[in-house]
Amino acid sequence: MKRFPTPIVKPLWPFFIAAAVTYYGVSKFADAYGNTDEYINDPRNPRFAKGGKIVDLTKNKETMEE
Amino acid sequence: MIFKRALSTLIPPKVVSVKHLTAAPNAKRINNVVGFYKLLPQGPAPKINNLSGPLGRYKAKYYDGENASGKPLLHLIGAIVVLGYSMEYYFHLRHHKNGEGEH
Amino acid sequence: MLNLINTFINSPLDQFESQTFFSIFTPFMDMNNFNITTFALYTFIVLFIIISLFMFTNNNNMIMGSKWFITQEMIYDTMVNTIKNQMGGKLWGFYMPFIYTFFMFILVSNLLSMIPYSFALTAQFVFIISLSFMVWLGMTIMGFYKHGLVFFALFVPQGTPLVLVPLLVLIEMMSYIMRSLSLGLRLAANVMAGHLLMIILGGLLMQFMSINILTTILGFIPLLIILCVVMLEFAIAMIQSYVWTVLMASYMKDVQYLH
Repeated sequence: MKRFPTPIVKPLWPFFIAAAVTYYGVSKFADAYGNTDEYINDPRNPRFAKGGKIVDLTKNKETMEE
Repeated sequence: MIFKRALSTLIPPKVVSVKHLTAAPNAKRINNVVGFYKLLPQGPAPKINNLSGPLGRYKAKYYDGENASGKPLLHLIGAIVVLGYSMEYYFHLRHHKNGEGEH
Repeated sequence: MLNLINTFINSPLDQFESQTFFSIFTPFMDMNNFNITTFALYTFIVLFIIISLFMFTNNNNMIMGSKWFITQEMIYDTMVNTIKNQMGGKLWGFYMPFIYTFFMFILVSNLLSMIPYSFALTAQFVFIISLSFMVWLGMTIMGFYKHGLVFFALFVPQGTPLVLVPLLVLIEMMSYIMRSLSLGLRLAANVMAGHLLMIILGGLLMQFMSINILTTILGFIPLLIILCVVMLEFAIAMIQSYVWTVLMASYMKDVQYLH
């Protein structure tokens, strides 16, 4: 097969840095958002799969029933 | 008068004939060309496939040469519908039968 | 009797929900990033489609591809012309493969999501806005690396009176920063709104048509309108991927040549 030596790293390295930064930022944001009062006891929160316990939020106790 | 002379060399036109071709100085080159075309493989091209296994057979049946058709699109649509519906059934639909109950 | 309602999705938002098929748990570190979800599955399907569009259609590396290859050539030609016209200069060739990759991914995933019961990759706001933010951030880094502080000249349009410069710089900077959001929001909102519209209209019509025989016959008139909406969505699926490409190329031009 014919080879096309297109430069990849040379013109595109800023995007690799940007991808790493975005990945890190979104991951941090997702963790922080999952730990807010609204989603800390959501059944989809991944900490339940690891055996996490329901956090007792003294303000609204009805979320405990889920 | 130059104009008339130029015209007289043009008419009658020189028509290409066998005698001209064989007697011409570039006859050897033409022979080379003929020889080159004689060397080329003749008859229908052999069927080659650079993929083997089930994917290669699928490619030979629906993509290559004269067999190229839009059927792979239909196959894709069918596969996605089956996959998507079975996932939808497994995750949602079986939890509320007969269309009752909110999600 | 076949219960038609049960064959239909109950909540219009169900289609955007991604489920986890497979996940790894370790007590040491968070492995949630390696979960196999619906999203990952459909990303792999899109990858397979794009690769097969190239590998299957090149007619075993002969000079001419098979009939399928015409589609690839057309897409490639359109992209080359678009990016060349948008960027100008000599540098467009370096960024054409990058923008082309985005176009293929968005086009294929948009069209794939039009199949019933499929999953709309491009309606996932977190993913698409991360993607557009990544593009924007990469371009900003590139601009600062290439031009240094002269990069700020991008925020002053040519021929501005000196009095207006502070105000214009503020406005231009706002619009430049908002590009990171608007590029992705445009795509994701369009796709999501389209899919919601189709499924809500379809659900309403299905309930209407299942009342009695008369409404079943009458229902074919609104069905035609829904057909038009579906066709519009197909158009949007293609137009949005093209719009992303054009905007990305023009942003790239701004960063490379400043005006």
